Amino acid sequence: MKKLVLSLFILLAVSVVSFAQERTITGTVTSSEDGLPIPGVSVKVKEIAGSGVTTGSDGKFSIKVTAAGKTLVVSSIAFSTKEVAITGTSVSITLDPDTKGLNEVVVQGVYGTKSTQRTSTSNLQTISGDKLNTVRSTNINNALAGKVAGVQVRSQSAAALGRNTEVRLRGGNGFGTGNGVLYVVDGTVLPNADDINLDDIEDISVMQGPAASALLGAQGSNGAIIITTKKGRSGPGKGITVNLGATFEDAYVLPNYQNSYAGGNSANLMKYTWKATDPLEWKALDGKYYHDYSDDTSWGPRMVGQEYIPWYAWYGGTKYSYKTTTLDPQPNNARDYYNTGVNLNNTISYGTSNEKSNFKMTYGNQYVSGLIPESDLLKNTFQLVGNYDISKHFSVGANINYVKQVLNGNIEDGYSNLGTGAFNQWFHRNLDMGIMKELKDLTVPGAAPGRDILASWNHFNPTAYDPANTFGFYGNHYWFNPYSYQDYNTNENQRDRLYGNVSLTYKVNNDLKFTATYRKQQNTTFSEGKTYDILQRSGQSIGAFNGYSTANTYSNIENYEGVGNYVKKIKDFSLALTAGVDIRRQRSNSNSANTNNGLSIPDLFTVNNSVNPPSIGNGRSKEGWNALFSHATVGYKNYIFLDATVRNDWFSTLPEDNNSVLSKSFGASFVFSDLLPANIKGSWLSEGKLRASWGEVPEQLAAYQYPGLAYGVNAQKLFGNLLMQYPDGIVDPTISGAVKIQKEIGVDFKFLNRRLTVSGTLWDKTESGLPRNVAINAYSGLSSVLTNVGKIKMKGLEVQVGGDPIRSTNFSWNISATYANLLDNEIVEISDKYGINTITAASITFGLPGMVHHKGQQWGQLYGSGMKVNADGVPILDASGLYQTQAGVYYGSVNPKHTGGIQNNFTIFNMFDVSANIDWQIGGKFSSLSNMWGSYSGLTARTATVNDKGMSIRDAVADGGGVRVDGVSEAGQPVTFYVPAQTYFSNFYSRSIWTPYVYDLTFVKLREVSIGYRIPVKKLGLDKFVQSASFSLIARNPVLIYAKTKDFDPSEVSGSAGETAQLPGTRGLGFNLRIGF
Amino acid sequence: MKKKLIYALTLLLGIGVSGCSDFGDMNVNPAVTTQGSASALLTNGISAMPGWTTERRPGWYAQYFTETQYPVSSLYSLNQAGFTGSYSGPLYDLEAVKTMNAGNNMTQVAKIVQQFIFWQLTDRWGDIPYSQALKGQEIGSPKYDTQEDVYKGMIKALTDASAAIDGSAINGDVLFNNDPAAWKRVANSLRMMMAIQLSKRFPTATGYAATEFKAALAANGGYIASNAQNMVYRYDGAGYSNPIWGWYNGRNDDGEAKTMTDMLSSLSDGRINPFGGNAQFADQSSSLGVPYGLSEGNVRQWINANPGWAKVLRADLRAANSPVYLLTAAQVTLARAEAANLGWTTEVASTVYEQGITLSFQQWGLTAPAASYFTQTDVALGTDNVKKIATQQWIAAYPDGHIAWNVWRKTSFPVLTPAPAASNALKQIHRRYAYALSEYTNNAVNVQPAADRLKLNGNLGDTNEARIWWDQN
Repeated sequence: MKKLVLSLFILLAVSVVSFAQERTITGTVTSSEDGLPIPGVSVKVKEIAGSGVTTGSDGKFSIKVTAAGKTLVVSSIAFSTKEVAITGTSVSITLDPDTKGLNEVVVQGVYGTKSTQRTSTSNLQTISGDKLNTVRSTNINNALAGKVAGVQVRSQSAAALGRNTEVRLRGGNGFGTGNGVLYVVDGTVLPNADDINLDDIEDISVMQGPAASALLGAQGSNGAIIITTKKGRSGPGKGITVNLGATFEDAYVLPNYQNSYAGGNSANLMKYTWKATDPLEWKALDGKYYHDYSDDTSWGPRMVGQEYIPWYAWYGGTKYSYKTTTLDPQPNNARDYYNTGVNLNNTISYGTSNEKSNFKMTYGNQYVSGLIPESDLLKNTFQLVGNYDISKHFSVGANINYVKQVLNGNIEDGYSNLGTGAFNQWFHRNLDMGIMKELKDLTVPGAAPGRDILASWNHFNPTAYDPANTFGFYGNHYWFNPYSYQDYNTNENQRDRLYGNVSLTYKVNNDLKFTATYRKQQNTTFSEGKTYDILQRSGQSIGAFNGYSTANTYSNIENYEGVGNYVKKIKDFSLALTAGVDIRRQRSNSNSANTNNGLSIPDLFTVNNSVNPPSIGNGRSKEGWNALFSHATVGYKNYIFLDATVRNDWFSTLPEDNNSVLSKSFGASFVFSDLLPANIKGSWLSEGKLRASWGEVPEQLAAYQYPGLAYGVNAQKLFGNLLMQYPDGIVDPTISGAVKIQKEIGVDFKFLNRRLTVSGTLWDKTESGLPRNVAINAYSGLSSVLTNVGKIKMKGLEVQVGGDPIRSTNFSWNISATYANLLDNEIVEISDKYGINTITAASITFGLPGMVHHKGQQWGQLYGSGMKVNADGVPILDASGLYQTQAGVYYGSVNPKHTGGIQNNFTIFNMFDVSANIDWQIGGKFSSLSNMWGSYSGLTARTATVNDKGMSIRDAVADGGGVRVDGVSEAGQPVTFYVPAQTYFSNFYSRSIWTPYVYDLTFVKLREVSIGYRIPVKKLGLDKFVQSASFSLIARNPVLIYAKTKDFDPSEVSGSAGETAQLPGTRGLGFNLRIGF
Repeated sequence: MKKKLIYALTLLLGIGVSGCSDFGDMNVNPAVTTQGSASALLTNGISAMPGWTTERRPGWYAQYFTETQYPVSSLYSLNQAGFTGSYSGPLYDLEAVKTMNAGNNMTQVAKIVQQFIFWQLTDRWGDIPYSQALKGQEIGSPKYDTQEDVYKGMIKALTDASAAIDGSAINGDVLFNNDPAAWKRVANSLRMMMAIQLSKRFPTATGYAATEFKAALAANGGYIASNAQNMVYRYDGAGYSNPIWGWYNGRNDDGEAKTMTDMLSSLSDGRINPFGGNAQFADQSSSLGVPYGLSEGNVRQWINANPGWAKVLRADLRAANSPVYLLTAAQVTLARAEAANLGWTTEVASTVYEQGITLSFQQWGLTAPAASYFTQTDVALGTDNVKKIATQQWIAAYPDGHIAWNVWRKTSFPVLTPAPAASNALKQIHRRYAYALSEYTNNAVNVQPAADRLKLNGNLGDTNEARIWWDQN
């Protein structure tokens, strides 16, 4: 392969020499309708194959022509193609709007297939790179939000550096959490969307399911996102494009905290009385008051600016030592912890093409200094794409992508993480983050030299001080200083990914070609985690051990493809045929190790230094498939199209004598408007099309699931005795692939000279017999069976609307909108054969409602215990006025019912480009562990409200305080109680009543805003050096317009069922400078 | 040219198709075995036992321990733990030892360990699957047996196992180093412990429980009578560590309850020394029991004011490699005292009673108590014998909460005051674990009859406050 690439380079170098005898033609392309310049117009020299440039944003182009060149071919979407004879060196061309719609965007499919809006039989939604990359997002999924109907984007907080985002297509798939969409970049399959540089993307199209993705076989059964990257093109100038961007992200959406009561579990300040065994310096604090430091809740005294002893006053050596201060709320303490994230995203790209070749190189560099202290991410992406025609028949191509990412920091949002999201669960509302940061290196001497203890806000109360064991006081109870923690608990993750392909094409003639392609996607990761001894020796109830962990993974996927493409037009008929073979081999290995129970020599970070035997992980798997496929599209008079796909896969993971599975799809489209009288077509209806498609795709098994029956062996022996577990899982001997069937019908209309487009699609999918390991009645001794289970039925509607309401010289407005409705969504069966009615897809710690699939219910129910209510929904209270537990409650599906978005683009004075993108969803549920603990621990605003008597709910019930609780008694009589606030909020946890902590995912969000200014390089006299330049101000997530929950950004919930310590929603502002040389 | 190429491609495709379905050994997992080892399965099954005897929850209910920070479970929060994992885990591993025909004694030992685990389960939940359980695909959905049937089944299984043990080899026995005689003693002793647990249901000397107890007492092979014969699980302190050591390795959630230290102080009982370790000074003992069942605010204040509070066991007795007692001579001997006191046996209650107490002292490395210990009013038998025997059983079982909770539920002794900060509606100590929520979604047909049977007593149903079968008169 190396050699091939090398020769490609040499060939390219040679070709550059041949540029010598060229002349340059420059020109402008404008629209005959409004006289405006048309950007993105393709200009080619008819006589020279492979030549071609596109016009810039000002409609200008510059093309090099050799002596052979006589005619320019000028074409653009929505305009009629024009041929212009080359006469001088400068030319003005006007194009007429095309009403026939023949020159449509050609969408690249997989295996060399192509389709257009006209021929497509399913709801093919394509987004151009520009529309996708409005704000130069670094995450492709986020950039899709609201732009494609039927896609639910599940974003993550920008504080969670390097975290995967996920999308659900058409209500999700299978009995998991509904992800598993395939990302295909120039034909190469990637496991996720993480490593794609958005600046490289030409366009992206979303295949929503089997009807569209059957050609990909089982791997595409959950739908696919097809990404085509830009190819090298010659244009005016040197072909170099530079993008310089910087965005600044700040914490935006945080839970609503109470700001009236201080930390601890004592409602009153306590008086400190100095005793002879206490440090002498503490005498200064004698008679002063302190709050409970040792408990990390905020059920403490009311903060009214009274004098008190802060946590740091007990330590010597600072300007705060032995001094009191005033007890005041710190409403922004959690927010203040987060840095302003700085995201620098720069790319430089060079592209060129000539008759025989095209070539493009991009280097992208992204550096993010994260919102979480001590976190950062560095990513370099390198892409090289080229194609060279060796002869009339042979051409070679290569597409090589290399991505290297280094991520540092504790990106944690699990329960009881010590750095970040846990501020929402356990904390003191009176802590000053500035002082916290200032004192992060403060220590006190420990029991022995070198055993110093970190200072923490969460030390014990002075009554615990014993001079013989000062650790009892100074030891960090549940929390280190969160800044110290970030310093002494480090994580590094590296990833090296190499993907791409090399191909050889044999073009028999204009109709027939054969392509052989080798593809590779290799990923190597390395991670390392260190916990320093100072944490172990400072912690009391934390369980942080001096330790080291490391892991290496390697995965390599290779495809060998042979494809033939045949295109022919015979009279009224057109035919496009694709057939081929695809062989895939996949291998992955992993090794990991971590120390246990500390390190023998403190801070010697190596696995061998483990106090107890280290844990070692070792994994490897191999799998593969072989596939034969073919796809055909037959057109009649360019208004009726039929297509069919057949693909057969053989899987290594299925039983050997039954490992062949078939995927198939059929579709038809009919552009009925072509048959309508000219007066209708000409007046208001530009194009009308009906389409229908049907597809059936199986799902495969993972490696080694079949035939099962494997004993587990413990890594550690007990006094020389091996420990082994009998395999509790069985495999159904008739196991096979699933069947996912999807059908859809749709219409596409274009009105008023194509200024308004409307598409509507109704889809219906049935998934059955999914191979899945499901829990069975374990009293039999067997805990699970791998079998084909279930039937899921979903139906939905998708609508896309686009238009140009205003198109004038000085102002134009383009709008597009998407809407999807999940009309119907039901689990018809799980496994009647094994008597299984429920599958748990995602759980949350502490038993909060998790995501289950239950027979007869909607897909992805949030299910768990809740509040006991009577038939009228009134809570049934116990004798203390507390809520009681209702065993199983279905809270609703995690799937939003409605999703959609609106994108607006304005062009003003041909100088400003303004984009504003909104997306929204209605419905769907999630659980919040943060709010559960946040209320238990008196942090959230709801724990410090005023009751109907006008008293604080934290005041004693006898004094008119307490939470008013209305309900009915066990006997059904209406009752009203006043319950002490802490009892009220802790009751939800102790009785597992989660009803108050289940929220709605509904939101409306202004996700992207961009204001671009096209710098008039010519006016400024810079056009000698610079072809084009634009400067944009951009905003990411600037406004969460509406959210039903006020505590989180529902578009960024970390888990499928909910969140366990959500990082804050963020908003980013920045700028971008784009220069074309 | 064109034709040739098409031919070539067709040929290539043809070759492809014929080899398409053959992947060789690609799907053979190199990291697993399909060959089981009976000894390794037995070791694994046995290793599940100490988890039950050191489980904190029964110890909270029996007021051995109390939570020292963020008390929740010791304040009787809703407890709906599932127990299916014990069936597919250790119980089925042991079942595999039996079906593998690894030798007669391997089968008998596996059976005995299984009964120990079933005993733990039924005493916590009540009715559980027993007779139809562990049959694999043969019975995919076993019914719940009544606790009476479970108890009778376990007692019969132990009787049979005891009788069946011969001289054949045992492998993987980490408790008794593969000694068949020890397992005979264990089977007989467990049979005695189970029989005495039914005294509320079968109180008479001729009843089922008494008959089984006497038979076990007289059974061939004897019972655990000395501390050397105790059923003890040992840890290497490296790959496997004592769970109670683990409680304090990084956290400090539990203290010895004041209920225990008060009791021991009132009896001037020397066991107060090994039972509590100073939270501040690892080498010291502590008799400063933590007041039981306080709210977070109150326990927090108390802990801050009493840094030398008592952790569970003195540090040297809960080291990483300290053993865990599964069944001791003291427990068995005190059960004999109880049986004698009930008139079930002809043994002299007071003699056996004093023997049991002495064994308990010695188990913890203490010298036998002085005569004055036995003569004090609250110890000497004569009056309130049930209370005194139960109290000594309660002390002797420490820190095995299962036995202590069993004793209290059956006899109401020692008298325990529910947690002052109890969070449950009835403000009463839990008397059982409730069935897991998932049982009602996945196994309703079997769990519902069991839940319905719980309604028969006080109409509490499947709650934590309902009484299991042997807990009723």
